[in-house]
Parts: sequence; C-alpha cells; structure tokens
Amino acid sequence: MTLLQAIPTTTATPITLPTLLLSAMVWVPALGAIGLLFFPTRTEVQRERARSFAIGTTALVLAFGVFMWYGFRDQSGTFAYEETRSWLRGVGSSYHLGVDGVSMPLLLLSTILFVVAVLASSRLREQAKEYFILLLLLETGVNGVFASLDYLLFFLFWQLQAVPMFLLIARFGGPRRLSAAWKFLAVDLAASALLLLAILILYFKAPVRTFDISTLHDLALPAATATLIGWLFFIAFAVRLPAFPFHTWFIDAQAEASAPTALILGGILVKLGGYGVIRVNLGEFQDAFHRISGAVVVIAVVTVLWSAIAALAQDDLRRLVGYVVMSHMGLVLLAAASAAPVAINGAVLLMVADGLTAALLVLMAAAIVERAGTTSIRAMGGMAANMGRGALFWILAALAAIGFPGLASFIGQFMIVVGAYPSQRIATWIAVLGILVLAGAMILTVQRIFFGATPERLGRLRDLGTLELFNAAALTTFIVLLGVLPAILMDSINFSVLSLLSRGSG
Amino acid sequence: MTLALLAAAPKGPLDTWSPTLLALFALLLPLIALLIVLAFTIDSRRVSAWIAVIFTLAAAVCTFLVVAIEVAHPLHLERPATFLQFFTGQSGSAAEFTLQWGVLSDPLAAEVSFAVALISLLVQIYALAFMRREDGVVRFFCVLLFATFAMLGVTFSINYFEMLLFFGLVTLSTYLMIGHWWQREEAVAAASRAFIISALGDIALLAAVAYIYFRFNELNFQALSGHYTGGRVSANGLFIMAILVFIAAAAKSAQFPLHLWLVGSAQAPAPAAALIHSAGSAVCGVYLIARAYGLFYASPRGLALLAIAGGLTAVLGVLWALFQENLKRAIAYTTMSELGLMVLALGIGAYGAGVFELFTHAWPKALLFLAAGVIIRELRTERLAEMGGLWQRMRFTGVLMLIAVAAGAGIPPFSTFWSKDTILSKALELGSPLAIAVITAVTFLGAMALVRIFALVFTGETARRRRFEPDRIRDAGGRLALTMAVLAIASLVSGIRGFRGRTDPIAFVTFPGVSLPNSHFVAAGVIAASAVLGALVAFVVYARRVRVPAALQPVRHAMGEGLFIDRAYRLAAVGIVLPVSRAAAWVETRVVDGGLDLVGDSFEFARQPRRWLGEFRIRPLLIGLFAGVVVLGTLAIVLAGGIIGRTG
Amino acid sequence: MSAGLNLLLVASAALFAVGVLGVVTRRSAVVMLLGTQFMFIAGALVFVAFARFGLGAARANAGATMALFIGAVSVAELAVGLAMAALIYREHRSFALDADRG
Repeated sequence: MTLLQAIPTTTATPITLPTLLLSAMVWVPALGAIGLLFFPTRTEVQRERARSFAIGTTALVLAFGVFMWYGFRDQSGTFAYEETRSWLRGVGSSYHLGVDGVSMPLLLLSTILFVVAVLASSRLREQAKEYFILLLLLETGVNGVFASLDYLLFFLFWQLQAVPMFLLIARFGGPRRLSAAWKFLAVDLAASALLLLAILILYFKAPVRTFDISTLHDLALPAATATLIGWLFFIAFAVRLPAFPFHTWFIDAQAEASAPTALILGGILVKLGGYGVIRVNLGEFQDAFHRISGAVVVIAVVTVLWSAIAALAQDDLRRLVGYVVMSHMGLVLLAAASAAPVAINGAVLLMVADGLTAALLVLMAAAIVERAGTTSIRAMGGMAANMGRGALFWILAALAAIGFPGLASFIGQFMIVVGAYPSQRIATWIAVLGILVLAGAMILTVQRIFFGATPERLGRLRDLGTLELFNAAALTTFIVLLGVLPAILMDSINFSVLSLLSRGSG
Repeated sequence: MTLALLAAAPKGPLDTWSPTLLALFALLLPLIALLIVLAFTIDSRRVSAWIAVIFTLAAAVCTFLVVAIEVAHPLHLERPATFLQFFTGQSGSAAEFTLQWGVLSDPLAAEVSFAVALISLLVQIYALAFMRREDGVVRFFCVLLFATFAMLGVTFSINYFEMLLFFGLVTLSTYLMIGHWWQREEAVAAASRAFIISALGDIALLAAVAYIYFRFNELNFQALSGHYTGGRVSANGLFIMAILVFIAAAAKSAQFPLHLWLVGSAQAPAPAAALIHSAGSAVCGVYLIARAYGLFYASPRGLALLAIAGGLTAVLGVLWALFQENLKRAIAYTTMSELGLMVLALGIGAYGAGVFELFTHAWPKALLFLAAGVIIRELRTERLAEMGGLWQRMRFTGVLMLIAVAAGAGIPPFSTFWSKDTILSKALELGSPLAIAVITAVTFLGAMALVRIFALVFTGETARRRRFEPDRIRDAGGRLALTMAVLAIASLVSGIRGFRGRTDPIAFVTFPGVSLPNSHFVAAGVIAASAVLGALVAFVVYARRVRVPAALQPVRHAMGEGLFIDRAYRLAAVGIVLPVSRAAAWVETRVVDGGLDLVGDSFEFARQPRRWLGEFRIRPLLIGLFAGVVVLGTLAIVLAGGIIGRTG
Repeated sequence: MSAGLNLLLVASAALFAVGVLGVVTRRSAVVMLLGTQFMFIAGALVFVAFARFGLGAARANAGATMALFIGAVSVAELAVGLAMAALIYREHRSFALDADRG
C-alpha cells in the first residue's frame, strides 16, 4: 500500500536525456536501407562493401542501444527518452516515442540480434543488396514498435514488418519457402486486421479523440467494450506470440527461412507478441484481461505443453528450435495471465533470455544442418568427433533453453513459476511439467546429434569457423552474463512492471 | 578417534577463523581452478591436472578446518549475499522478492563437505595416473572440478533457491561424468537417462520452492525451521511439500522408483563413478532430506514416506546386487541399497546416524570403485564371470578391497558398523519389527553382496579367455596405490566413536527434537553378527563358485536386469509419449493447418472442381482468408456496433 | 447514420471485394492491375460518401480532396504496374503471373 503510493505514475515532463536517441534507433536502419540502394553489387568486392555498410549501420544502432541502456537507470516506472512531435494533429495521433523498463531490454535485445543476424549473413550472391535492405527495414519496424507510445504509430510499425519478412522468407529460404512465406503473410495480415480493429474501436470509444497510449490509459470504458477490445488485442498478439492454435505459421517459417531470418523471427519478432500482451493488455486493459484470464491461462498452458511434446518427437532440427521458442513464449503468456509482479518481471527477463537463446539455437542448428547435409536428427550422430566446439555451443544452447542455473533463462523461468503459482496453481504445475518434457527433448538432441558412434559419411566435418564462433561466443557471453548477474536488467525492469500493473486498471 | 585428534589441535578464536569464510574459500576454489584451466591451460594436460589437484587440496584443507572449528564450537553461521532483489508492490513482508545465495557452516555441512572435498582430491590424484593416456583428460578434470564445485555448493546452501541452483549444476556434472566416453552408445544413453531423471528431481524441487514460498514467503532453511510446526500450513500442505522435496532427493539419490540411472553410472570412468557414488549426486539427495529435515519432522506422513521408500530401495538394491554379472554394476547396486538405508534411517528418526552413515559409507564405496577401476584395467574385462584368482597376483589391491568390503558390510570395527548399529538402535527403540527386520536383512544381504564381489574377483582360478595372459597383470602402484590406501585408512578409522559426548560423531550432527539413540549392545551385536554371517555365507557360496540351479535361472536373469523396471519405463516412454507426440503432429498438420487450407480449398473447389485435389494452393488460401476476415470483420463490427450502441 | 451513407458504404465494400477477387483470382498481370484500380475506387468512394453524408460541412472539402489524391496515386501505381507488365510480356510472351515461377 505505502509502496504503491511511492511509485510515481507517468509524468508529462520528459527526463533530461538526449531526445533524439529513440528516433535514431528507429530510423537509422531505414536510412541505412536507403543508403544501400546506392551500392552496386555486381562483383564480390562490392557485395562485401554493401555487407560492411549493413554491419556498420546495425552496429551503430547497437551503440545507441547500449547508450540507452547505460543512461536508463531506474526511471521509477516512467517513460524515458520521450519524444513528442505533432504529426497528424487532426486525427489525434502524434509522433510519440518512449521506453520504459519493459521495452528497453527488448529494444536492446533487438539491436544485438540484428547485428548478429547481419554478421551471420555471409554467403549471399546477387541479391545481397535486397537482403540487407529488407533486414534493415525489418529492424526499423521492430524498433519502432518497441519505442512507440502512440497506437497508430504502433500499428504502422507493426505492419512495416510484414512485407520485408515475407520477402526474406520467400526469396532466401529453403525448399518449401513459398508456402511458409505465404502462410506467414496471410496469418500476420489477418492478425494485424484485428489489431487495427481494436485500435479503431478504442479510438472511437474514448472520450478524447487521440491515439496516444499514455493519454488513453486511464479510461473508464464500459465493461463489454473493454472486454471486446481486450480480446481483439489479445488474439492479435497471441497469433504473433505464437500461441496454440495459431502457431503453425511460425514453425513452418522457422523451418524454411534462412538462418539469419529465422534468428530474427524467433529471437525478436515473436517477442513483440509478448510485449504487446504486457504493454497493452496488462498495462492498459487490466480489468478486461483479468476477466478473460481463464481462457488465456488455458491457451498458455496448452502452448507450453503442446510445443514441448511436439519437440520430443520432432525430427527436423529447425522445427524443433521453433517449438522450443514457442514453449518459452507460452510461459511468458502464463506469467502475463497471472498478473503477478514477480512473474511479469520474470517474463520480461525470460523474453530477453529466450531471444538470445533462440538466436544461438538457430545459428548452431544452421551450422549442424549445413555440415550434416540433412535436417533430420535421426540421420545424424557422433558429430562431436569433428565438431568439438559446435557440440559445446549446442550443449550450452540446449541448457540455456532448458533453464539451466547460471544461464539466462533460469531466473526468468524460476520467477515465472514462483510468481504465477499463487494465482494459477494447477496451470503452473502443468507448465513445469512442460519444462521437464522440453528438457528431455533437448538432452536427447544432444545425444542423437553429437554423441555415440560416428557414421561413415559424417566422418570428415569441419568445426565452427571464425565468424560462427564469434557469433556463438558473443551470444553465449550475454547468456551467461544475464544468468549470473540478472540484476543488470532487473533493476530497470522492476519499477516499470510495478508502475504498469498499478496504472493499468481501467 | 579421528575427531578426538581434531579437537586437540589449536585453533584461533572464532572471529578470525570464521568458518563461513573458510567455507566460501572451499566453495570457490574449485570454480577458480576450473576457470583458470578453461582460460589458460586447456592445452596442457599435466598443468591442468596439477592445477586441479592443488586447488582441490586447498579446498579440502579449508573444509578440514571448518570441521575442526565446528567440532570445537558447534554453531550455525551463515554468510548470505543477495543475488536478486526487487519490490513486488505488495504489502507487509511480501513487499520484497529477494533471492539470496551464500554459504553456511554448521556441523552437517562441515561433515559432508569434508567428505566431498577429500574424496574429490583423492579421485583426482587417482585420475592423474589412471586417465593419463587418454584423450579428453583435461575435459575430465574440468568436469571433476565442476562436480566438486556443484557438490560443495549443495552442502553449503543456505536456502532452497540456492539448493535448486546447485542441484541443477550437479545434474549437469553427473551427465558429463557418465557421458565422458561419449563415443560409446551405452554411455551416452546412460548419461541422458541420468540427466532426465535428475532433471525430474530438479523440477520437483522447483515446484516445492514455489509452494514453500507461497505458503511461508521464506526460503531460508534456518528461518523456515521454526515455521514448519507453527500451524500455518495444514498437514496436507506439509505432506505435499515433503513429497515434492522427497522426489527431488529420490531422483538424486536413486531411491525407488527413480533408481534407474545409478546402474548406468557404471558407464562412467572409475574415478568419476567413485565420486558420483560416494560424494556426488548420490549424496545430494540424502543431504537435501537432512537439510530439510524440519519439514519431514513436522509431517509424520513424510517421515513414513521416507522410511518406506528407503526400506524398499535398500532391499531391492541389495537383492539385485547379488545377481549382477558386471563388477561395476554390482557395486552400484550396493550403493543403491546403502542410500536406501540412509533414507530409512532418516525416516525412522535416526538423524545423526543417517548422516553419519553418509559419511562412513563414502570411503569404502570410493575405494571399491577405484579398486574396480584398477582391476578392470588389468583384466580388461568387466564381467565377474571372467575374473578370479587375483589374490596371488594383486595382493595389495586385494587387501585394500578386503578392507573396503568389510567396511561397507558393517563388520566391526570398520566404518559403517558404527553407523549401522546406531540405526538399528533407533529401530529397536521405536520397537518397529519391520524396520528391525529390514535393517538386519539389508546388513546381512549387503555383506553377502560385497563379499560375493570380493570372492568372485580374488578367489578361485582365473577364467581362461582368448588372448589374455594372466601373468602380465600388475598390481596397482604409485599414485593409484596411494589414494586407495588413504581411503582404506579412512574406511578403517572413520567410524570409530569416542565415548565422550563432544567427540561423538553421532552427536556431532543433531536435530533439535530428535533424541540421540543410545547404542544398544544388542543392536551392535545384531549388526556385527549379521554382517559376519553374511560375509561367511557369501564366501562359502561364491568362493566355491556354487552353481545356481537351472530352475532359478529365469529368476536370476530377472533380478540381474533389475526386474525389468528399466524396460518398463522405456516402453512406457516410447509407448505413451511418442504416440502423443505424433498425435500432436497429426493434429497440427491435419486439423490446424487443414483448417486454414480448408477455407482456401473450398473456394478452389467452387472454382475448379478438378484441380482442387492438387497440392497447397496459395491463391485460394488468400481468397479464403480474405473471405474469412471479411466475415469475421463484419461480425465483429456488427457485434461491436451492437455492444457499443447499447452502452453508448 | 443515414440510409444513403449506408448504401454507399455497402457499394464501396462490394467494389473492394470485386477488386480483391480480381487480384487474387486472376493470373494476368493486367487484370490484377484492374483489380487494384477497383480497390482504389472503393476507397475514394468511401471518402466521398462521408464528405457528402457524414461529417458535416466543415469536412466536405476534405473528403473530395482525398478522392482526388487517391486518383493521383492510383494513376501513378497503374503507370508503374503497366510498365512492369510490359517487361514481363517481353520476357515471357504472356501476362501470366504464376506462383510457381517465383
């Protein structure tokens, strides 16, 4: 009680921090994409130059991200780096950006993952330019969603991701890429339609004609309207999450997309679903969300358990990685449904951890698949004979996915279980069972891929190359760092979560 | 006797020789060694191994000092450090969520940590010679250091969270140790099985932590010890907590029905197996029960659960041990039986005795495995049927193994006799015929099983095999002999209890409210008699290689296979989980995706009946989806309009 | 909401549906472009409808202006689209756009 009073609500005055930082983080990738248009890519040297430019752009955005994290500190639950510029005044939409403790870690994660993705895209031919342009546009969309505090802006950046992702899958993917790409596009657009519907209903039903999130947060909407809006938002985010039964697009896309694309998809794009649920459903429509929380819990638990069981019998390595990510996002959804501060802190931490873990899993899976010449786990075996380092990093990634102590996901999963338990007892125990099944699945992959006798045709493989090693090592460093010192993010996250939960009732 | 020596050694005042600081050193030294090896010396076998040994020696010295201090001033001290802390916005004591880690120093921790550190040191010295010519030696030492760190972490844990954390680390270390020779399919399979069962235990502990935190809002062992009996939680609640903690302990300590991984641990290299069985994962579970004893003590049903499960495990383990064809597996099953005995002891309230059994059992068990390692290497077989007649050729190892067998069997005055007799005393005090019978039978059969091993290996004639010359067998020498000799000495003396209160090891580790059993002479006599009798029977039967009648062969086979429980588990896993998984995949492709396709297909069918039977259609999907969106959107708008219209 | 407005909105939705069906169902590039034109028209019709019926005198100009704007955009799109269709025809001798040809 007294503690709640001590938490300040959103202030109108922005803190005195550089006010262009978020705009830079959102638009520099787009500018980079435009700049790439002028690069010729006929020869190998020119393509390398284009790639270096892309690396430079994403590295610059990463530098901004680190600066943002460093200067963030504990803003007591308010929004930092706020920028407000008038944009569509007639409609009531402004260019309003800002981050708080929930979006800041995810934004930082996004900048890290895009650098890794660009670094991992090394073997492209004529379409290198398009590839990097699409990737950079995607980064603009992703960063924009995390930073925006205006519903219309939110929606626009959300939509911005659809076409680049579609093209990335459709043009640079595996044998069944078109089917996967179209499925992604169709499902994503359908979900976006629901999102737009929700935003528009909110807009028209609000007493003030505005799209601004902070202005709209203390609304007194009639219960039925709020529930309807809550449902629409929830389904839109649940499709992205991906929650059962809207998840098939994600698994197919993970299977068919190239490694860097799959990395972005599983590492950051699905986190937008979780972020949306926390920011909008919990932060803005808490009572409505509480009313539908029974259904949400069921969906969350089914997601965790279903994906774990599916992972167990999965033979395709890349689909298995997809199921692992899906299982973690199910836990995030469970935490959101429980609306407990401890659990939601854990959820944000788990999302960051899972982004890093998914990236490592995808990169290692791509390395394994490339060397084994097949995606079928059953056809592999004994690969540790030649791929000692690959085995090490895959084991680390598998342990991180399980939630092994000392690695990033442990604290997140722990806090979700401990936090969600008081309000959702049976659901938490079933979810814990799902974690166990996933642990079994992952350890079996280690056994089947790397250990045991080495078949003849896998006798001569090369171990991880320099670039692969660098990416893997960088991701592992972050995973271990976050696992051993979760406090580096926790302090920022906590106050914002509390503020979000206390503000959201309305 | 040993502890009397310690009490006489001069030590500084408590302030400067703080046991928690020493415990912290002991905990961190293996980790530092591991990091140094990984960072700097990973290419050099010799340097890495010696760094490991030196740091472990330092850790062992620290734990020894901790024991000395605790003997002089038995205290419970903690040195906590905050791992994570944030506000939860709730009121009262629930306003903060704090996760702590740290070290504690009390008699229980001191005793067990000393055993862990010393055995780890001896195992590493042994491995210096044993694994000298292998690939992956550096990896092996890294894993040993990691395992030592994990185990010491378990013993020094101050709260359930830290226990959970280190339990996870122990799971990984066990996996890495068993799967060290990863090229072998059986080793890898055994390692995966151990991991899964251990992970099951960790998950159970996670559930226990969630429940305990929910009920008590507290995870610290010391703080919780007063809360269990406060009446805040119903008897059912306490029982559920006890069950969950027991599952975690059972998974780590191979209690029935989670015992399957212990046999598989025989796939580990001998030094690693020695560590696992005497001072590794097997010890963790019993330690958890001892640490959380307040919980069990407050729940009578929990104690009953311990007693029943422990008794069952002890009996099954020893029965199965009698029918094993493989040397290491036979020793492994005797471990299972001993662990069952420890849990049984804790269940009937013989707290100090149960913990002391943990301590006294560690030395002979480690010695058994190390000796087995030497034997297997020299004979180049693991099968008992192919061994024999080693007494003439490997006299030194034979003597040591004799000591280990006697100590493990409970023959006075060797180590486990002292603890077993106290356990039986407690059973006599309680007057429970079942407990008395079980303890006596387990002692008898355990002695039989151990002496059987000795007899089959050392007596009789060597079985003839192709391409094997028994004359080329050399006895253990150098470092191998040294380490085994140290363990043998420990097996000899570690049990002996002074008869003055302060140096009585049973009284060293106490639990408030649990009375110390007086050592009945009856109990001592019974234990001594059953152990000696079992030894004699086994010697007579097995030294003469008495053949099992053909009628009993199926029984023998069934017992040898652990009553096929392992196969039952595997069938269940394959039979249940895989079909479920495949059903899930079917549902996905047919139902969920099919739903998507159906909408699209329906339009394609309407358009071109002939062509809709083709493969996945993109355009119809879009049509279908668009139609669906339109329909849903219209419905939503109408509904929303209706709702909004109604409410204005 | 008056009856006239509703009628115009329904008509616009129908036109939009026709446009989408045209784009999604047909293979020829030119017909697909025609479909997009239908969609643009539908959007413009909505704006004009609201200008005429819905938002009051102050906004009437906005609606009509928007329709003009849409017209300009649609012509630009048509121009680019037809140019690409011409290139496709030059290469493949037909306007067909098939998914299997990537």
